Amino acid sequence: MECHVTAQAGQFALDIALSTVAEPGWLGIIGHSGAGKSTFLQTLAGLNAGFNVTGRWHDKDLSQLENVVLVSAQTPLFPALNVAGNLELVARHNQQLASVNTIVALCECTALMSRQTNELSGGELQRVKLARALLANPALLLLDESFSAMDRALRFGILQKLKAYLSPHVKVIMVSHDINDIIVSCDHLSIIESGRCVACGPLSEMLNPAAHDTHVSLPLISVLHGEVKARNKGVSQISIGKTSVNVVDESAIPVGHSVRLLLPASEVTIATENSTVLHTNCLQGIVQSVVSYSATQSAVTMVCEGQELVALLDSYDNRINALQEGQWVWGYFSGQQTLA
Amino acid sequence: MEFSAIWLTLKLAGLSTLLLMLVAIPVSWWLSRWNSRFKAVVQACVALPLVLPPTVLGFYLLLAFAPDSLIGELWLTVTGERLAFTFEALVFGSVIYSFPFAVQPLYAGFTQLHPHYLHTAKMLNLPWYVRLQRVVLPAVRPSLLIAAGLSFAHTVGEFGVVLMIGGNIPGETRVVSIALFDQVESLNYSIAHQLAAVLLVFSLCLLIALYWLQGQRRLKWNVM
Amino acid sequence: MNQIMRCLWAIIVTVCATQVAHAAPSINVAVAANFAAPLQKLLPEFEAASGITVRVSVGSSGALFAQIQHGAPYDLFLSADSKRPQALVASGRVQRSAVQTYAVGHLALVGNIDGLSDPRLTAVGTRVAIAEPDIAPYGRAAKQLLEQLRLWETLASRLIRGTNIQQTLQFWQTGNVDVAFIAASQCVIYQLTCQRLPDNYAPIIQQLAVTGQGESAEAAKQLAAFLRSPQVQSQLAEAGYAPLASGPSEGSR
Repeated sequence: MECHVTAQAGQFALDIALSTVAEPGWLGIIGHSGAGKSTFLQTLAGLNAGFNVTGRWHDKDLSQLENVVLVSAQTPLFPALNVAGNLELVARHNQQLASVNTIVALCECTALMSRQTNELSGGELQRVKLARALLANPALLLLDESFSAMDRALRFGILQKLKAYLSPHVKVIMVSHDINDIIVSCDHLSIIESGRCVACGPLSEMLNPAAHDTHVSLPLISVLHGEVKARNKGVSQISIGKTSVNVVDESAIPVGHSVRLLLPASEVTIATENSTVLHTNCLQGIVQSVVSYSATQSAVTMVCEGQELVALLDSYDNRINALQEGQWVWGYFSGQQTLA
Repeated sequence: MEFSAIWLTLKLAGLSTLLLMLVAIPVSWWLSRWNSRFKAVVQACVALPLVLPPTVLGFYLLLAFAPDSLIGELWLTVTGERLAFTFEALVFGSVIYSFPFAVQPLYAGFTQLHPHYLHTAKMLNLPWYVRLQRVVLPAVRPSLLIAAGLSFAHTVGEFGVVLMIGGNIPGETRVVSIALFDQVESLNYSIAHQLAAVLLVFSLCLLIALYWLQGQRRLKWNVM
Repeated sequence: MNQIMRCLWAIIVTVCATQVAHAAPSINVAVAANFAAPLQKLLPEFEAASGITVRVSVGSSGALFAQIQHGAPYDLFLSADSKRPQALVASGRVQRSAVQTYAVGHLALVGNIDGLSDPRLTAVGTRVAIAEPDIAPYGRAAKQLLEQLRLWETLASRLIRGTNIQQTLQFWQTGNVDVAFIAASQCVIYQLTCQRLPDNYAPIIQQLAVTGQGESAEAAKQLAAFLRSPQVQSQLAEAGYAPLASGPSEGSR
């Protein structure tokens, strides 16, 4: 994928060049506010005058792309129509992949159909906007903080259904302040600062502590892949390799589904000897690397069941000096984690 | 009571308002989206009937309606009749005279319409007539009503222009304001008072309705 | 400082004194539109002879009448008709003796036809303008004339009606009507080729009313007398008005 966008919005100059070796399906974008994320999406959607877009994504020329649909605070619902009116109007003038009802249900809008637009809460408004965007049959869907007002369970639920609904040739660029949204849904990540792209690559590489040389402090999060084995009283038992862990799951992913477990490095504690007293969950692994992460913290990467798990340790912790590559360690974490 | 004059006035105001809306909507739309150094000049020209004495406007219209001038000649060739002192001439004059009253509220309405609505509608592949019908016009509905109401009221109260180009023909160009003037001139004050009362009450009611509408304006238009 | 103040005072007092000494009596005259032009022509002579300064307000007779009725500070009212000065008498605003005839108007025809018998006058496509008969004396006269000639019935519904005789002429001058019944005086002032019309209508008597009080009433009476003097009347005859009958006609038309 190659994408080059330049735009001038008042004093703000945008010059973003994205380039990836593999073709992203879902591209996540993070950056401080004011970095130009929203302008970038608006420009891609053709909402900015005086812009220039060049590049390609798969075989599609980005400057020629039709049906680029943005969902953001800048795409208001039409106030003269109620929710059903908004959705039906767009449905009537576009071809959809699925029936209107399917899309409405996907975005959890079924109960909102008869409401006026000014009666909607922030999260409801975002759901209706998303449904309306899907009804416009997007080839490139741009999501700008489109889930920010929804609670986490609802958000992950919709994201999961959205991933299943959109065919692989529909590309998505998602901007979010919540890195978890991006980790659960995106395969590529780009970091934008002051109108420029400072880093871009596959999500796993970007989350690697070794890549943390950019100015944006990307939180250290490990993504572990597993499968739901059982579910009891809101707690799901997840198998990661041969080990089982118990995690509270609000979005109630059914048994048998494969899931991603998001583990922030700060939540993981390391011990050099096995002791099950402190935490619910424990994974055994081999130290792969120890990297200085900040002035006061070091990141320890271990390989457990063939997957990478990162833990943050305070630099004054004497055990760091004793850690050696290839050494067996145990990583502990609580059951209050994010599943998607 | 001068019922034919009252009916004629209503007919004139109604027809003029209809025509004004047809002309003023595209003009105000274009004006609200147009940026140029000459915009002020165009806006001033549109507003000119506000400050020009109506009799001056009427006099130049009279000159323009003469068969040897461009407009008068064109009308004569197309319809076979002369334009001045006809009902059509009054409609023509009223449209010009009330033009700023129609354009200004619409212009304000269109300028307040945030571009996000239009961009969104376009992005969602809605054709132009759907955007106009479902997005733009509902958004400026209060402005539309105010523009129509003001045009109507202003035409009803119009005197100077009609005096110059009307010719005071009963049933054709003798509107209420002219009848009122005639009655005053012929010292028939009681009939004049009646006509004045009708005009006053009618205009007052119309204006109350308009200001009430303006007060309602914010009701539904703050959703982003 | 004192010196300067004294000087200033001297100047102020001198200026005021000269002002008072030179303050000739002045009067305000309200004149109907059709007589405004002849009046302006006559005034320099009157002002030079009498030393009276005349300020002229032009308007329609009806509007001026309404203003006078409600106390407008006019000293002399030159109406285009006799109806309004008489109405001032009837309402007690002026004495009967304050109302006099100052001119008698003539009707004239302007337009591309040969007199009133020309069939083109009654042809459907011909546009004919008169002054509004109900409010303008020349319109009333034109109506009477047309009634006499049994043309009124045919023409009434499509006559273009001017508010006053000036506007009626304007309709013709701007090319919007073919024929107009106007005042003979207008033919003279605007140097138009007009046709005289038979006098088959009640005379168009233009009356004045002295509306001022005290000193200014005296000055107004002087102007009234000047206008009615044989010398001015002969000038008015040249200007398209009929000369006054020998005895001053005071009253009804």
